[in-house]
Amino acid sequence: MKTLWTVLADPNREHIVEMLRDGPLTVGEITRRLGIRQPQVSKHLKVLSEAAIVEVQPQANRRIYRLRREPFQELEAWLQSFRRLWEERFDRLDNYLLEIQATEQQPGHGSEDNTDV
Amino acid sequence: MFDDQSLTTRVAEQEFVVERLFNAPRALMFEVFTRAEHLKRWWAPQPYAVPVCTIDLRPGGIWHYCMRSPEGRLHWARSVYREIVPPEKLVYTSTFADEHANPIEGIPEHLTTLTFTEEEGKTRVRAHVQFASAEALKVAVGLGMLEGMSMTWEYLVEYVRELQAK
Repeated sequence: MKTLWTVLADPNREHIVEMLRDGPLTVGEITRRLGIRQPQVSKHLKVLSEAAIVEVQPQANRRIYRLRREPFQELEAWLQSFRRLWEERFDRLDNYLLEIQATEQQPGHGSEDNTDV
Repeated sequence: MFDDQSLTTRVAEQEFVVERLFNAPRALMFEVFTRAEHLKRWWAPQPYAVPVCTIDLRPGGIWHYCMRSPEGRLHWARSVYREIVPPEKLVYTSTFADEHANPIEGIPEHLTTLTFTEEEGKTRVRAHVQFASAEALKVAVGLGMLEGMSMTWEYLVEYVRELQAK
């Protein structure tokens, strides 16, 4: 896990990941789109494979690269947690609104059980 | 055959929407989201508290606050207002920061769009949270190693664990 951060810190590798988000690509296609030399592209793809961000699937005599699901599942889990944080925040807001609205309504109702100032 | 349809969908979902109908007038709802004295009392998820909260409510203005854990650890965050349309809409970007409101490097910003809609005397609040794709991916794949990089980040990771343990 430790290397993943540095793996994506490289702009070419980040670009490759961005491209693969739209679907699998061959090395040739990645090379063409990146506009850098193929040995360099292969080197980046090797790093991405070792970090388990992409996987390669041979098809006939071509090597097709695709993104692996796991890093995205982590992202999904993280977003879910962030979402739950908002749900919990809304729960607290609901309680807070009851609290302040009770205080506001207090003078109009001559309530005997509320002796706060 | 490649089965990338579901993957593509998932990757695109670097955003989420949470909404709720609150039994309060819209003007009050906008206030509880934009005034420090209110936010201090509800913004932090339990059992955290917000001891410090300053707000400069104008486009480009900063909303800087601190969350305190029950153990007394402080975690600062900073938002910058992008759009303010009282009492309908509030747009801001957020990230973790230090006590001087300097953003912590390496943690991506996210964009929050809050809308307040009247529904028969009640108010529907919709929070739309969006992360920049490449940055969010970095965070996601880096989750395992980021822990300990900063206290602030540790907090979120811890918090996430707590939630998952429930």
